[in-house]
Parts: sequence; C-alpha cells; structure tokens
Amino acid sequence: MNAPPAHRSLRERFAIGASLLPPVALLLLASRWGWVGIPARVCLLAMPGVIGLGMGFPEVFAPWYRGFSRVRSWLGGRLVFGLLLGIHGLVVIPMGFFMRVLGQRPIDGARSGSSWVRSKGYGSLRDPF
Amino acid sequence: MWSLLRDFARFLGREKKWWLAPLILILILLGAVVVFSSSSAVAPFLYPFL
Amino acid sequence: MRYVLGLSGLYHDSAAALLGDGRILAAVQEERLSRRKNDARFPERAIRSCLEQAGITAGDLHAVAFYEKPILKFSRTLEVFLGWAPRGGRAFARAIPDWLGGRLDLRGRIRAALPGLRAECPILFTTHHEAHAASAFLPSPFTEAAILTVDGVGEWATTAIARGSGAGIEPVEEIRFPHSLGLLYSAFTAYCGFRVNSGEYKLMGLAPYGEPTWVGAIRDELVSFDEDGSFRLNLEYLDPLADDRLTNARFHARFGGPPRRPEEPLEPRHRDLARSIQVVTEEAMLRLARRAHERTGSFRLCLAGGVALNCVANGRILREGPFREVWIQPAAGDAGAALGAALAAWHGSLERGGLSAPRTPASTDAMAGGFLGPEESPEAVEASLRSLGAVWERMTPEVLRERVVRSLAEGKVVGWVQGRMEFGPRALGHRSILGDPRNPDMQSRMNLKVKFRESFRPFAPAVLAERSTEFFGLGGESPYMLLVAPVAESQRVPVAQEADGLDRLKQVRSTLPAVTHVDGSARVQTVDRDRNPEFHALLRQFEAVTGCPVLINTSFNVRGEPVVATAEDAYRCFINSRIDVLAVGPCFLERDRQPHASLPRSFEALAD
Repeated sequence: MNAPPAHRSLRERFAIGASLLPPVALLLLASRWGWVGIPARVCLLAMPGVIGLGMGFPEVFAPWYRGFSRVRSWLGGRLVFGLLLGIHGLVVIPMGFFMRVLGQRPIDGARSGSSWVRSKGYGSLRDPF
Repeated sequence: MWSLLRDFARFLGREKKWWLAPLILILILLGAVVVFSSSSAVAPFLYPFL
Repeated sequence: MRYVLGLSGLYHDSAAALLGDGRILAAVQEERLSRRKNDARFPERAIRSCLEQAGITAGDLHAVAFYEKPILKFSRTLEVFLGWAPRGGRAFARAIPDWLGGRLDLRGRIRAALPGLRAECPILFTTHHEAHAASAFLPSPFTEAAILTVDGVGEWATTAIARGSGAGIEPVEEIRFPHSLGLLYSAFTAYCGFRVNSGEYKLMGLAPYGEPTWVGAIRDELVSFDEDGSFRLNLEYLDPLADDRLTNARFHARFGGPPRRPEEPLEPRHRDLARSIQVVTEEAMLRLARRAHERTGSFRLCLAGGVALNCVANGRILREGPFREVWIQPAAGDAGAALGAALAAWHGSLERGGLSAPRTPASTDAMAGGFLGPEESPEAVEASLRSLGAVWERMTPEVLRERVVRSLAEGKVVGWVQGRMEFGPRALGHRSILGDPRNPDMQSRMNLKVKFRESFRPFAPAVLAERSTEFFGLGGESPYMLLVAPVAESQRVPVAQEADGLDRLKQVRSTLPAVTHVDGSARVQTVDRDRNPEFHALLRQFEAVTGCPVLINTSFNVRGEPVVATAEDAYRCFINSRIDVLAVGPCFLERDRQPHASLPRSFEALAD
C-alpha cells in the first residue's frame, strides 16, 4: 500500500475530528437518560476536545474515519431510498392517478397509425432543455 | 442551484408542463439537502427508460 | 486557434472530442483509458487526453458542448414514472439519486471537472439526436444530404430524419419514445442472454446461423409498421420493471420460453430469434431510409446512432435503398455524439449560441481515418516494455513489416499497435489482432484461444482498397468496417451439403474461410494509402509475399476488455492470450521469448 500522505487538508482533518462526535453524542444521550454515570456537562465539554484530538492526530483516527464513512454512506443511501419511495407514494402515484383520470397519457401507447412527429427545431444551444 | 431552478422554470413555461413543477421542486429541494454520490445503481436494461 | 470540446456519456460509452478551428484534433472514448468497457462515468480521462494531444489547457477552450439536454431528459424520466405509477417505486428510488447527484446540473459538473475554464466560455447543449445528426453529416464528404439517426432513445426522439446543407442541419421529423428500434433490438438481446448496450453485436453475429421463423410473430404482435415508414411497438410485451429483463411473461409465452441466462447454452430457438429480429430491423431501416429520401429529396444519406452500427442493415440500405451514396459515422454510438456536439456548436448559428463557422466538406471525410486517439512515442513504448520486463527488438518500419508478414504467413497471430488509436468501436489497423484469412482453422482458433469468446462470432477482413472488388461485392469503399457485403462469386467454394446450426461454422465457403460468414458475407474494411498508410503498407507486403491482399482484422482485446490503448495494455493482453507476435511502435516481441506466463490484467472485466 501507499504511504499515508504527509499533509492532510484542514477540511479533511476537520472531517476526521467531526467523525468522533457521534460516539460522544451517544454518550451524552446515555447520561441524560441516566444509563451511565458520566455527567452530561462533561460530555458537552469533551466535544470540542475530541474534534481537536481528531484534527491533531488524523493518522491515528484515519481507520475509524474510513469505517465511519462507510457506515454513513450506507445509511445515507438507505435513507435516500426510503425518502424517494415516500415521494413516489405521496406525489408520483397520486399525480399519475390524476393524469390517468384526466386522460393524459405521457407515453403514447397507440397501436396503429403514423408515429412521425414534425420536428420543432433544435432550440437554443445555451439551454439545457 | 438557482440557475438550475431558473432553467427548469423556463423549460416548464416553454413546454406548458406546469403540472410537473411540484414533483421537480420536491426533488430539487431534496437534492439540495442531501449529498448524493453519483454511482449508478440502475441496471443497464433500464437506461433506455430513465 | 479556437477550440471546442464535445462531451458525451453518463449512460454508456462516455467520450470527449476536441476541435481546433473546426478540424477534429482528437477524440477518445473513456473506456480505453479507464479500462472499463462501455464506461459511463464522466469522461475525465478522455478530456485530459484530448487536451494533451492538442497541447492546450481548459483555459484555451472557446466552448464546451454536451450531447444531451439534461432537463428535457429528466422531465421525460419523470413522465415515464408518472405513466408507470403506481408501479415503479423501487426503480424511481434507484434512478433519481443519479440525476440529483450530477446528471442534472451539468454546467456545474463540467466546470468542476475543468478547473481553469474561463467564466465566459459557454457550456452548450445539443439534443441527443442533433448530436448524432451532426456527427453523421458535418464530417461527411457531402455538401447536402438526408440524415437518418436511429438509436435507443435520447430525450424523446428515438429515430429522426434531418436535412443537412452546407453547415446547417434542419430537423424534419422524428419518432418518439417508447417506439424505438434500438429498444426492440435490445429487448431481444437481453432475452437471448446477452448484455444490453454491448451484446447487440453478438446477436447480429448469431443471426446468420438461424432461420427467420419468428418474423411473422414479431410483425403481428410486437411491432407494427405504417405505410409511411414509421413504426410502433406493442408495449403489452415489454416491461422494463419486470425483475431483470426488458420483456415480460407474455413475451416469454409468445416467443417460446423463459429468457436465456448468460451461462445457458444457445439453442436453435435463440439463433432463429436473432435472425428474425435482424430481418425485421433491416426492413425497418430500409423503410426509414426510403422515408428520409422522400422527405428530403436527397440521393445522399448520412447515418448515425447505435442502430447504424448494424452493418448488415447498412449494407442493405446501400444496395437496395434509394441512395447513390451513403456515409456512416464510424463512431455511430453515443461516443460519436461527443464529436457531434462539438461540431454542432462550431457550426451552429450565433442566435442559437453557436460559433457559426462555415463548412467546406473534405474530399473523403473529416475523420482522419478514425485515428483520433493518443499515440505513444517510441521512447515511451520502450520505457513501458522495460518496466514490464519484456523482451523485444527495436527495428525500422520496413524490417518490422517484413518480420510481421513472415509470422502471419507462417500462420501466427499478430498483435499490431501502431500510430494513433481509433475512435469508435472498430479497430481499423492501429490497435488490431491480425491473422491469415486463408487458414480455415483461424476463426475458431482466434475466437477460442486468443479472444476467449464465443466460437460463432465472425471476423472481419481488411483488404487493400485497390483490390477489394476482386474479393467482395461492395460497390464502394468501406474504410470504417461498417458495411457487410457478399464475398465475390469468384472466391466462393461450393458447399457439398449444408450442416446444421453452429456446425456450419466449420464448413469452408470461400478462399478466405476465416472471414466468410456462414451466409457468404463479410464485414469488409477497405484500406487505402491516404488514410491508413502504415496498415496499407503492411497489406501490400503481405500481398507481395503470399499473393493475398486480405488480412483478418479484429480489435486488440479479449472478451470483456476495452480495446488496448497503450503498449502496456497491449503487452498484458499479449501475455494473457495466445497471440504469437506483438508489434508495438518500433518494437517486435515474440511470445516464446517473454519471461512471463501471465501478468495481472489491467482492465475491469465485464460480464456478458
């Protein structure tokens, strides 16, 4: 494998530091609900500390960060999938239903007759539509 | 994003397809809040349709 | 000099093309550089290669043109989903992220990929079929012509007729989604167990082994033709939302069973289906060609779009259609649309946002033989061979040709990598595997042992242009290997008794058995000195030694691999296949003298 890059950008360091926040946040919640004995205030105060830790020693936390990113993008993908399924159910299906009721067929499914459509011209090259 | 919305508005006006506006608006707003990776998950036989 | 960059991709076959004062300076498919076949990713490597070949940076560009109207296409996608509702939820949730993740905001994406692009450099958009039409007409040798573009689908159009005149293209009429010949052919491709968007060639290659027994069924139920050349698909047989096919249960019941899985054996039924859909496609193309002639009055035709890669149909249009001359864009698929978009922007009127340049057609055409890709210097070739531990001899072009021809005459298979890489799906003698076409075992040997692909797939002949009529009934030139023509009667050998199915492969039908398809045809490449001097010289040398001015010419790759681009790709492919001899740049390599038995491959293999 390649040697790790000597310099990491500030942005990348910050991302690594920020990836340490969720565990601390979980700890915070746990203490709120009285599951652990650490006072919530300590957790809150520790937050800037762990960001600083991640930013200061990015190489140490890089493996954690990679795993975290993988989980996050997997979760993100599931979330988006669910959101879009919801949009389909709440928007696309009703709209499709109304269009059908109104006799609007977006797809021309006729079986016979000419299918030539006279062209309207190509339109401006500047427009992406 | 604003230039994209402007393009869409002009497009819908030209084609008289205002009924598409709510769907497009929702999707663009979603696009603005969620960062998408653009790796394709669509099977190749669907390409002609999408 | 004013530079225009054209881009295509994000669905399949991404590519970039660069014009300098209207001349085509470079054009490259992303797959060749990324080593992923039909690569659909944004063509970053291809862009870099084009800029490098011209020695410029993004800051020198005067316009960038993309081959589609993303907003129009997105709205069609949404309308399709509205039409499918309440079905299609999962497909919707899978498809939309691609759009929101970078297909929609292409201006932003292009600017991000081209740092240094001047703020005032416009980013332009042609429609899909305008890009195809421009790629067909503007590089052609014609001052006026009918233009026919046929493919799967662009924004809405699937088939379009336009009229080209001077530097202008005027769209005449179009057939719209879902009525699509490309879609229909792809449905059969998938049904017969091949991969959509790349397995269509296999279906076409399989067709001559079958009988057209399903033509009636296809015409009665799947597609109906109108007298005016237009057609309609019957959507009751097609269902892209069904699990993993374009076709549905009704289709499977009508056409004799469930779809073939890629690993299952090919049955006679699949051969007959391949033949039948091929016959229907050819007839549809002939009708469209006649319509294009009627609507434009022209006796010249320019063709592009994925279906224009169906060289059997092209051959029939040339022989049976109303046109005196036909010119086909060699990169007829979506890769060529990158070039079309750039040309459309260059010649497009000022009102439309184009650069409004006049056009003077070239005497042959403006494609420079299709050799528009990168080339490695002899030093770079030697350096990469050295780093791979290869054993080679460097020689002058004359000695190299002599050694290669001697190997070919001994029945050896030669890898031939010379000059600039081809743009488009065909290898035209710059990134080719060559063999002796007189050898009857050559076809199955090259298929099975060299390219590791199905034994039925045909090979194409490259013939000296000046002697092509002695061997093939072509009636014109075919420098881009886009026309299928019958092998001349004088070269035919009568077959005592026709064998069955794939056994017909082994029967000798002509003096050139390795390139003669079972129906006595061949996909011919005519090689002339002007456009393809190195390859022409090689054929001349082979003719001088053997008397035969024909070679087998197949693309330099193995199954699932993009055609090789560099000396390194070529060497890896050479080692891992049974190619006997490799000639790359000035270097000559023999298989027996190489230290490796195998090398890691440099491509992402694509399943069938």
